[in-house]
Formats: sequence, structure tokens, C-alpha cells
Amino acid sequence: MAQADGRPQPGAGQPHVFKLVLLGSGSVGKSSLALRYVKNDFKSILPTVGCAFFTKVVELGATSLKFEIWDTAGQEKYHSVCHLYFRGANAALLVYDITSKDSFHKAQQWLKDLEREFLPGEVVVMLVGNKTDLSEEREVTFEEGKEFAESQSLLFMETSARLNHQVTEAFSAIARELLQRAERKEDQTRRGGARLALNQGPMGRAKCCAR
Amino acid sequence: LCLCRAPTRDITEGLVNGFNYSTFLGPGKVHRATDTIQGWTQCAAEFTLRLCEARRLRALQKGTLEKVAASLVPAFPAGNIPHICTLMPIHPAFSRAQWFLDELLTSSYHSSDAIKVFSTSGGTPPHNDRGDTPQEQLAKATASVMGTWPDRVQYLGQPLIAPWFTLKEALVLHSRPAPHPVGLVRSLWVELAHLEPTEAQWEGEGTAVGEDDWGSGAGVQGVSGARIPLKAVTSFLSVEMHRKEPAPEPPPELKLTPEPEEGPAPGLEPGPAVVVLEPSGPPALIRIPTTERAPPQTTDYPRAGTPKHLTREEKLNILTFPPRLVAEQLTAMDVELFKKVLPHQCLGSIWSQRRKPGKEHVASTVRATVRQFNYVATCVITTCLGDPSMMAWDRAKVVEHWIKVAKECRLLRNFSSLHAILAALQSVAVHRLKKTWGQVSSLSLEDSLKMFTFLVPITRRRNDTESSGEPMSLEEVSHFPEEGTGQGARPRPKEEFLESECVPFLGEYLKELKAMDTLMEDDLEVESDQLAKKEKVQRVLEEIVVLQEAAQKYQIEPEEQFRTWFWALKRLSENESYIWSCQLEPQS
Repeated sequence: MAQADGRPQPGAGQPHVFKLVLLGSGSVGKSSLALRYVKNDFKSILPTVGCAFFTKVVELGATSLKFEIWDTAGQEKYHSVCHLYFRGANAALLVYDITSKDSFHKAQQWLKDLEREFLPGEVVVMLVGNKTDLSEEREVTFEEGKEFAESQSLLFMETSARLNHQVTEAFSAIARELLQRAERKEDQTRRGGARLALNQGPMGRAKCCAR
Repeated sequence: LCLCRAPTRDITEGLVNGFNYSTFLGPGKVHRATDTIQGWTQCAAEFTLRLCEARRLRALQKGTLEKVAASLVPAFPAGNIPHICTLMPIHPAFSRAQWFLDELLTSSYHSSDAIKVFSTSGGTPPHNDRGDTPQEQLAKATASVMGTWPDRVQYLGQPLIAPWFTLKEALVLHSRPAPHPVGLVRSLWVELAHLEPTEAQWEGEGTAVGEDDWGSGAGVQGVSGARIPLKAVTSFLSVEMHRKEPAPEPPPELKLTPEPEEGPAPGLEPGPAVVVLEPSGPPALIRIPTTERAPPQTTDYPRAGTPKHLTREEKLNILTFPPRLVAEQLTAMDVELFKKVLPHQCLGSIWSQRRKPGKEHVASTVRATVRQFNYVATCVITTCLGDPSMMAWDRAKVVEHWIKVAKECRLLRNFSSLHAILAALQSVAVHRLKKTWGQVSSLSLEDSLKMFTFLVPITRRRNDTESSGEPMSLEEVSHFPEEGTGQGARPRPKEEFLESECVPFLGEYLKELKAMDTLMEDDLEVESDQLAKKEKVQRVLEEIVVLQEAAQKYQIEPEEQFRTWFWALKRLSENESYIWSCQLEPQS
């Protein structure tokens, strides 16, 4: 029960489990993206809708991983609650609505919040401009989004949950990145345990009150 | 327009649900109604028959909807029937409020008989089991119907015409069986302020009714634009006016503006029946007479005290208030707000609207609870960070204090404030203070650990019940496992909710409803799935209503000193608290 923080748990034939959080202001389409993505598992979700996250197994070549997708759906107004969602996350999708400049700024704010909680490079972050189907009302250009993402070393993509455009691609890109990082980490472990021990300082950082 | 999309299907569903729900409500209630109202059983049977047909044909039998309206009046035992506030908002067919009210007033009471019916108590429709006169029944039914809609009507693009507002308000205020008259009238008025300028066409058709008229029982005058038997209504109102004592006083004027998203909640609730006339608004607006009911307790949000007063209060410290008292007072505030929540405002479709321009007033009752939640959380964060003179040990005392308050909230079954306190303790600003947490006693840490672990794995426990097929109710989820017994995961029978009061964390409901709403947007969905989802939405709403009723049991006296302190406390913003926290313990 205590190990509920969604860290990768490799081994024993089980796929890696990664916790992915959806962040962004209200009505940008976070839930729609998540639901669209897990659509194939849709039927199995139905009885428990309202559960805080969906799961989805992703096959990437020989390896597979399991996403736990956490969505704040409608709870963005409860300020302190959102932190509870993203604690222990491995990846974050920062979603904004391309027809709302304001939501773009909010996404940047979310990034700041993430940075407070995590060490650089600890989470894979992707910036997602959703609702490309409403391109006539576009307020944030593709370039703007891309530029900001590059300046912060984030992955970037524009999607349309409604048209199912680029949705799977976005999640797959995150999956690939997560696996690559995990492999790199394993390499390091094999090469030298001493270096790793030094890096491990902040392990308990986010848990001081839970110990 | 969504009304046109698939009205027949919706209507059919609505009826099935509605009547299933009535029987499900408990044989007692329905049975009593049957005793007194002979026509009811017959009517229901006829319905079922018609429904079978309707379902097969995917078309509604003519006149069915009218029957629903007709059946409402004698069937209302308490004026607040859950299926009215839960079922109707999600079925577009029922959302034609104006039609519905028309129907209520016309079909049940033919205009020719109206005066007779209203002025004598021995009219055709019988008394119900509560001994309500026909006009009382009508008033209750109407009020319930209105309690269902206020903003939904606008949302569907069917603004009520101005004279209707006057009628609605009058009926609501005078019968007041609806649990939230103040909030209701308020949202009506806010809505009114947002009416399109086209409403100007009503200018001259309706006449304002002065407050004096109300007091003297002169009734509504000149609402010539209405499509209902006005005579009936006016005389009905007059009768009502005479029956109610004492004569109402003119209400204070107060300007209603959509409240800012965040920030302190003082003045959250204006006094009862405080209503504003928008000078630019449509004419024919009346002012609602203040009724005899004393202001509800919730209105005692701090009238910001005098500066002198404040300085004295500010010297008080959270530690000076015993945990039990703090928990009780927070609960009292939460309860009042929770009871006022109009369930349909939690619907994903409504709640998601709140950001759209011109929709700021949408879901105001829900926002009030969110604001309170954030206000509690920021209070915790601010007090834990304290002032620079405090040492880690002092801060630890505050943290321990809040953990005690959280435990008390848990005993009081106030899951909203409990959630707020725990979330605040885990917020970045407080969470990162290692020195402080290092000083917190191990006993408190253990307590907090128990409660923290409760917050996150909620979902895991929910998954455990997946096999049962029944969705686990949120109340169960927000229920702690009894220590050592491991029974927390077992769903409890619904009746138990009524046994013990609680204040739920509304955010869970919002999330669930939002998710359902997102799912329902998918047109590719099979019809049966859509129906299943609608039923689920309805169940969630019903649950809220049931909890609201249970919440009536809380009886906590307000304690002024704490309240004044609570509202006067100057809170740090999220950003400020983080900066402050970094100053207390620099980043490594």
C-alpha cells in the first residue's frame, strides 16, 4: 500500500509502470485526450469511471510499459489538491488550448510548479497544444508553442482530441523518452554504483512527512 | 440545439428513470401518497404501459409529458424531491422550464376554476398526506421545479421571459420548500442581469410591482406578457400573502456582481432576499419581500470588523483555538455551503462552463465550496509558515495542531476540510520544510501518515470493488477504513448514508461528473452505453442530494472569535508561500 507512488517497477516480466499526469487549466481538453488515448480500454473503464487514473499498456518494439494516466478533471480550482496529483509522477503532459492564449500562459505556470517539485530531468514533460480542429480561432501559433517548448527542453506536439489527431503519437513520444531515460539510468548503474550513490541524495525529498 | 437532437429518446429515458426512482425512493413515501391520491397508482400504471410502447417505437406518446407535470403536484410530499433536482437537468426534454411551469399552472388548475381553487381549501386536487392544501402543493412543486433550473434554462438558450422571473421568485420565496431559497433567488437575479438586450422587447409589457404592493397583498399586476392564467397566479399569490405572517419588510438593496474567483469569502452570502434591480435590466422587476425567516447561519460570514477589532484578533494564534473547536467551526461553514449546492451545478457540462466569458456566475454554489476549501488550505499553509521569529519547533507545533484538527474533522466526517488540511500540509511550501517536519512528534507523524496514505490510494480501494459491478460511492471512498478492521473497502448500503451526516469533498464528484460528461460527448457511442452513463450521472447527483439531506443533522453553533480570526487572517498566495518557505529553509 505504501508503495503507491508510481515509480518504475521493473522486473519479473512486469512492464515498467510510469505515472503520467495531465496538467493545464480547465476546459483545455485534458480528459478528452486521456479518454481518447485509452479508448480501446474504454469498456473496462466504464464501471469505475471516477477513478483517478486510467491505465494503458504501450508496446514499443520489444519492450512494453504501462502508463498510469492521472487526470485532475474539474479539480483545477482546488489549488493545493493538484500537487497531490503530480507528486511522484514520471511524466507530465502540459496541455493548453490553442484557441486560448490564457491557457498557454497557465501551462507555463504549471511548468514552474513542476520545477519546484522535481529536480531538472526528473520528469519527462511534454507541452501539448490541443484543439487543432478549431484552427480558425487559433490564438497561439504553432511556432510560439514550439519555441517555448524548445527553450525549456520540453517535447512538443499539437493535437486534436476530437479528431483523434496526433493523440497516440504524443503519448508514444513520451513513452519512448521514458524508456530511453530508464535505459540510460540502467547503464549508469551497471557502470558504476559509486556515482549513483552520490546522485541519490534527494530520494526521500518528497516524502519527509510520510516517513 | 441539443433539444432537437434526440428528444424522443431522452423523454423516454426520463420517464423510465423518473418513475423507477419514485418507487425506489422507498415504499413508505410513495405508498402514503397513493393512499391519499387515488389517481396516482392508476396514472403510474398507465404510464408504464405507455412507456413500453414509447420505448419500442422510440417515440413519445402524445400527452405523456403533460401527465408528468400533472402528477407532480399531489405527489410531492416534501417539496424537495430528489428526482426533480437530479433527473430533470440531465434530460433535455425536461429542461423546458417555461413549458413545464406553464403546464403545472394550467393543466392542474384550469383558469376558470383557479380562483375557486386558490381561495378555498376544498378544491378538486386533494390534500396530500401532509395536509398541504392544493395551493401549498402547487407552490412546493413549482418551487422544486424552479430549484432545478435557474441557470440551466439559460444554458439551453431558453431565457425565461421577464414576468416569469417575478412569478418564480414569488413562488419560491413564499413556499420556500426548496432548501436553498437564498442562493436560488440570487442566481436567478444574476442570471437576469445577464439576459440579452433583446429582453427589452418586454419593456412596457410587464409592470414593476413595488414592494409596498407586496406588503399590502395587492398581488402581481400587469404581467400581461405571460402565457399563463395570470388571474390564477395573482389570486394564488394574494392568498399566500395573507397567510404568511408578518408583513414583509422592504429588503436592503444590494448590488450583485459575480464574485471573484479566489480570495476571501466575506460577504459570500448576501442576506436573505437581497435582490438588486439592475437599472439597465428588463422592467417589470419586483423586489422580493423579506420573509419572516431569520437569516440563515451562513450569513454570518465576517462583516469585516473594525481595524481595531482586527488587530486584537490577529494577535490570536491558531494554537489558541482547541482542535475540536476549529474542526467544528470549519465544519459548520462547510455544511452551510454544501447544503446550498444545487446538484445540477456539479454536472460536467455546467461546471466546465465557468470559464467562458459571460458565464462567470455559472455554478456559483459549487464555486462557493471550492473557495471555502482553498481558504482553509491557505489558512493552514499561512499559519504553518508563520512569521520569521518562529523556530522550526514552533512551526512543528502548528503542524501538529493542524494534524489534530484534521483528526477531529475526520471524526466529524467533514471530508472537505479534512482534505483541504491534508492537501495544505502536503503543499510544496509546507512539505519541503524538513527541519519543521523533523520536529513533529512521532505520534503526530504517524497520524498524518495514516491520513496521507488515505488520500492518495483512494482509487486503489475503489478498484478493489470493481468486480462488484456497482460503482463505489464517493462517500464510501472518502470514508476511512476503520483501523484494524480493514472494512473500508466494502461498499455500504445506501440507507446508511442517512444515518450519519457528512460533508463530502465535492471535488471527487466534480471529477466523476466531468469524466462522464467527456465520455458522453462521444457521438460514436452505442445508445445503450449512453443510457448507462446518464443513469450513472443521475446516481451521482442523487447521492449528493441524499448527503445534503443527511447534512441537515449537523448542529454546530457558530463561535465568533474563531470565525473572526479565520476571516481576518491575511493569507499568503501560493507564490508568496513558496518564496517564504524558501527563505525559511533555502533550497539545497
